[in-house]
Amino acid sequence: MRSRLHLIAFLLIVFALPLLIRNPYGQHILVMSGIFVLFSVGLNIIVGFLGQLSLGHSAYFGIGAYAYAILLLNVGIPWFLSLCLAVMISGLFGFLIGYPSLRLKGPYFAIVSLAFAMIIRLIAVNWQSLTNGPMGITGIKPPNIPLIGGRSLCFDSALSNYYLILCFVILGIFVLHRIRHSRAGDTFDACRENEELAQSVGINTSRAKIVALIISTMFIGASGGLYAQYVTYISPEIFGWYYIATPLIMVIIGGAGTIAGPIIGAVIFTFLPEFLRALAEYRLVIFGLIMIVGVLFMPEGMYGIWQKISKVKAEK
Amino acid sequence: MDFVVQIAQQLTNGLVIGVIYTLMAVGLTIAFGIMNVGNFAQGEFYMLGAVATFFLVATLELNYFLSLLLSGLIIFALGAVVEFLAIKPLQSRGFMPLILSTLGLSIFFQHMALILWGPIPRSIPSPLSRKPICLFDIYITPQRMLIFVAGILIILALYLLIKKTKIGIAMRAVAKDSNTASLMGINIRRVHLFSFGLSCSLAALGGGLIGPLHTISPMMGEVPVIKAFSVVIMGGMGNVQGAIAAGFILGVVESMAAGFISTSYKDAIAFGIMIVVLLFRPEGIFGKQGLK
Amino acid sequence: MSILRVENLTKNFGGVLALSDLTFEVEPGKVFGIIGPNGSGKTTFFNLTTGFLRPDRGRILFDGKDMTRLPSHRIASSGIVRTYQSTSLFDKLSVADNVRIGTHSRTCSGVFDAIFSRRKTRLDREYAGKRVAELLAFTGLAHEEGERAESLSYGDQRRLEIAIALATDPKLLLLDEPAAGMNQAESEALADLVRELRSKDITVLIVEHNMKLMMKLCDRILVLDHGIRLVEDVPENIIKNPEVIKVYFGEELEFA
Repeated sequence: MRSRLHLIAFLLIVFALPLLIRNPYGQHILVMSGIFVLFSVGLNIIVGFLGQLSLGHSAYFGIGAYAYAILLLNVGIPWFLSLCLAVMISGLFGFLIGYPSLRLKGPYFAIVSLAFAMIIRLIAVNWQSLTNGPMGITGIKPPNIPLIGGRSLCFDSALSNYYLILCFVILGIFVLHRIRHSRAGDTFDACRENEELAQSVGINTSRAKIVALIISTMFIGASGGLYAQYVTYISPEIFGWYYIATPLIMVIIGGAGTIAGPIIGAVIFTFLPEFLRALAEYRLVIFGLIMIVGVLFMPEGMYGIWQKISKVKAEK
Repeated sequence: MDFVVQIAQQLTNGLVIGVIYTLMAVGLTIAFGIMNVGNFAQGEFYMLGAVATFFLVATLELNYFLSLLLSGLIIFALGAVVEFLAIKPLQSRGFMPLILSTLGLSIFFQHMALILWGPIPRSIPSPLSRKPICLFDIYITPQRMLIFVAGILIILALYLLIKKTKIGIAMRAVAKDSNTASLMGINIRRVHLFSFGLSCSLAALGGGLIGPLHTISPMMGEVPVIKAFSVVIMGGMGNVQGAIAAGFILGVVESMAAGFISTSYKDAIAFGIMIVVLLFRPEGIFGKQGLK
Repeated sequence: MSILRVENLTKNFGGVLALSDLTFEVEPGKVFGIIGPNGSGKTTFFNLTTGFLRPDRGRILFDGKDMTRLPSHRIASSGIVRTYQSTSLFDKLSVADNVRIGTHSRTCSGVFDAIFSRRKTRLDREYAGKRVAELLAFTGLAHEEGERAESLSYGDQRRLEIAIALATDPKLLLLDEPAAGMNQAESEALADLVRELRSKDITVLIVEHNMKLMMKLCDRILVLDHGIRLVEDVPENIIKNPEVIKVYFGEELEFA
């Protein structure tokens, strides 16, 4: 019962946040953290639940973003449908890339995923007729929902985008929670802990891994599409190292394998650079250090530490 | 006739760039074979080597060749320090924490360099003339010749080190079976420190050699490191001879493709080969033969 | 009809002939033992039967159906389940989770059901919960329910392995040296467990070095030597067989 109350209180705060933080830049950071929460939660399915290191997830973020932009602007599909299609296209790529590579062992899978991401980045830079090359795509119009009475709801402000993205985030977390505490979730755990034993009890581990990858890439693609729609401009740099390393830090330092961990990590690591603004160029230097220190001293991530603290408190 | 010359030209260019790939890749493969670590910061040691050489030449006004050697030593020391702080504590925890740690290092070094170096790319002033020599209708600059010659010398020196010296034998033993090696009295810690330092300094030498030719920038290691991984995988992880062969092969193939097909997708060759090899022959084209 | 029929099973490992033309049958509901010196091909046989290796020649028929080329998870869900020589568990998961995962092939809700169908998920959860409780009671692990698998004692870990295998509702259970490292008392407990399995109509195929245990438990024993079937008979005849004694001469016979 207590955790239910905690959850409701937490949700209320989350909904009220942009009204509390009236500063438009602060609201912008809130939106970005929402996008990264979705990204990290999705990435966590591969890294945390399946226990596989991915180094190519920026590809799906970029594919989601570009697919959304291209479908919206070039093909003229309405925004919600574009977003859904972008999610499915990401999932499709996840399947195409994952199918051959998931049978590879840990580090090899990581390197192959990186290679694919680099190739996709190259394509995005060079296939100018489709992606507009290094210039990127600008002018991604924010969604405009016509309401009764002639008015319309336009998602062109940080505030409106925050609630839109929040809906997706909540939906995503709900879906993930259901999956985690289900037979499918058990399957992922089994694949991660002991794949051979999993097969011996009848689990089709290849299929389980592909399913996890598809779900993961759909989440990541969704975050990419929402990103494109919010910032209205995308370029091939979203396929780059920043969008590989940052979500990884968020998942690992936040706490891989849990649902709360990546959320905590995403929020912290979206807000942290802003607090470190004063340190300007040292931001990413510190990022790198945090990554090393985090890996060295916080193997369970921040969520793990929090849990340990609550356990100790409970025992007192 | 003209066609043959073109091929020869691309071949020459390819061999030169191949040296750089080989140096980085041999470093990587040594780290793989002896310590089972995939060093994603190798590109940054490459960059730091270039930066150190530049600093020694431009600021301290030392001779280029001396600077090159010194920067190799400096980065060797840096590598050993990194091994002690960020690699050794994670050895027992599997490959994922190690890769993440080296990724963190990569970010750290890149942005540290960005602060200290600034965003403006510069080249190392070299004592060699910039005028290309013409041999049999093929144009090659003295710097490129130096890269090739120096590369071969470094590889030979490495070969002698691994085959003939005590530490080299120790390295090979640890690569083959570290438990037995330690039972036989080999100081594993020392071997690890030395090997990692060596692996980083090889990349650094590559950076110092390429410095006068290309511009130096803090991000210059980003793409080469992935190609170095590609070479390592082609050659077989831990297989030094394989890495040497594969490094030159990649350099030549890239050069040919750039010259005859298109330059914009030439990077994709390395990535594509890597994927194909991993999917169909993960032990590498030349196979995992341990440190040879 | 026999529950397991092995025909001309042959496996070569780059020059080393692990199994050569192995043929035998197992009657349903019996305890069938396989013995032989180390390297005689026993584990290879298990790997072939459970789909982790493919034979070079020969067939494996389970309940009349050809299992030879099926992937391991399909063989498992058809009713053939094995335990491993060295303990194989889902280390960081709890004992209850371990056993619940074992029930995988007897439940059917997938990802879609997890999201959209509360009913199916609930039914599966109930079934799994029931089975876990049953099996933990059966193997005497009920008090360890919430503990991490890796924190259990060796004997308890072995029992957990069997609990997981039983959770799959197998028709044929392959036990790979289950008594390894056990003392007299533990081996007795294991023997009781195997006898109880027999009473539940589960056919047991057991590979072991502990001869005393095998003599007591098995209805029939097959002797393997260097991948070749030496003899297959009832235990009383096996120990009297001069071929068998010759093969084991110099080997450590555990009359534990």
